[in-house]
Amino acid sequence: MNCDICDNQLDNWLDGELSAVQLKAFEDHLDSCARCQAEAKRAQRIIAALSQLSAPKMPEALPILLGAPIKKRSGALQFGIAASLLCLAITGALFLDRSSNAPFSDDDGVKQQWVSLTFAEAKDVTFALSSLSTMNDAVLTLELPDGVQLAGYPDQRELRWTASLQKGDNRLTLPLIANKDNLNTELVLRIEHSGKHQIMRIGIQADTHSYPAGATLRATRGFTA
Amino acid sequence: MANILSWRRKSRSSADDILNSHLPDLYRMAFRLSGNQADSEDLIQELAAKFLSKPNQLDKLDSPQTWLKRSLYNLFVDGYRRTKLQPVTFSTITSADDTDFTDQLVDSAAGPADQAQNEQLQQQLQTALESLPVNQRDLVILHDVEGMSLTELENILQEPLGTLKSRLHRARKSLRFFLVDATF
Repeated sequence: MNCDICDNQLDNWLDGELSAVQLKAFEDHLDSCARCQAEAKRAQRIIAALSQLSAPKMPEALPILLGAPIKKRSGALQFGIAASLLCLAITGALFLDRSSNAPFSDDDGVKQQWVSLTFAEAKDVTFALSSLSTMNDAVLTLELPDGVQLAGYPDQRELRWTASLQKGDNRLTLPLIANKDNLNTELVLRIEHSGKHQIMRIGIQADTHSYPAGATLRATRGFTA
Repeated sequence: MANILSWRRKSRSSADDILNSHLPDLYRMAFRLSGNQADSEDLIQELAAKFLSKPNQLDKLDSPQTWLKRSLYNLFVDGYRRTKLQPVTFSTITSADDTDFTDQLVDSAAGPADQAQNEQLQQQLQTALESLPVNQRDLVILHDVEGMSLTELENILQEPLGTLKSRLHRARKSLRFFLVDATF
């Protein structure tokens, strides 16, 4: 057996689908080839880890809810991913009302915030959107810069959805991943309602030298696009 | 009329029993696919509505579990991914040293002190999964995470076994590449 055949049979070996003859030939090759042995060992560990990925238990009330009419949540605001992810909560107050009559300004009012991400790790970033009045059917648009992605949506550069903002704090949680270091960029959240809009810019910066020891992006004020 | 109602109640009760017996597995699968609890519950609710609306057809099913899982997957693809997910491209992370991810992976004898580290590793694994193209990600989730056989998935995903094997091969290779390059 050569390395190419070994590679082709690796999945069958992992799934326990090799015949006795194939298995012996496969394992003989592993004994004689350090590279294939390391690859097989790594593959085996990854499969073992996948089988132990955590998942929440089913809510106890779910069987009871199944008898009720289907009522979907406002899923557009819920970008939550696996509960095992670290949670990084950075709250930026977005004051939508800067005039006495309108819920928010009609100029290009820009609010700037900084967030801290960790390279290649999804983290929930939560923003508080504070509104002085209830706004039904507000249109939210999120623009993601190169190097930052929503977990589970790698190619999505822009998200647009409609949501109702309640009076007071509304929380928007985004699972963000920085997939590049040396980032000096921003993502933009635009909120439109009744012909007016508000823009929130979130600056993101990476530090190459902190990678791989932590790769935590610095949170700094005063970001300029 | 009373007999028909009685028969319907009996059918519904039987359907409830079947559904309830598979509910924990279905919920876990829904969570793996959708990635969050809210969508998982919505998916299960829709599945239950679909399943319980035709209780008299249950007797015709050879394997309710396979039917339920296939239906759940179809609901996910049709109703959720269409509106929420876009095609995924593979993203590469440049390695800064030769640390091997798998050297730090699951140790069945790990004590409490190792739990935090395992949590971080699971997070890396989750990120790697999310970087796979969606059809590869689904296959890895259903086969390697959920433990369904490729023969079973041939039925659920409605694709030939050879296609699934090739896809699984590419997906696992990508995961190994991704996780070797990621540094901890």
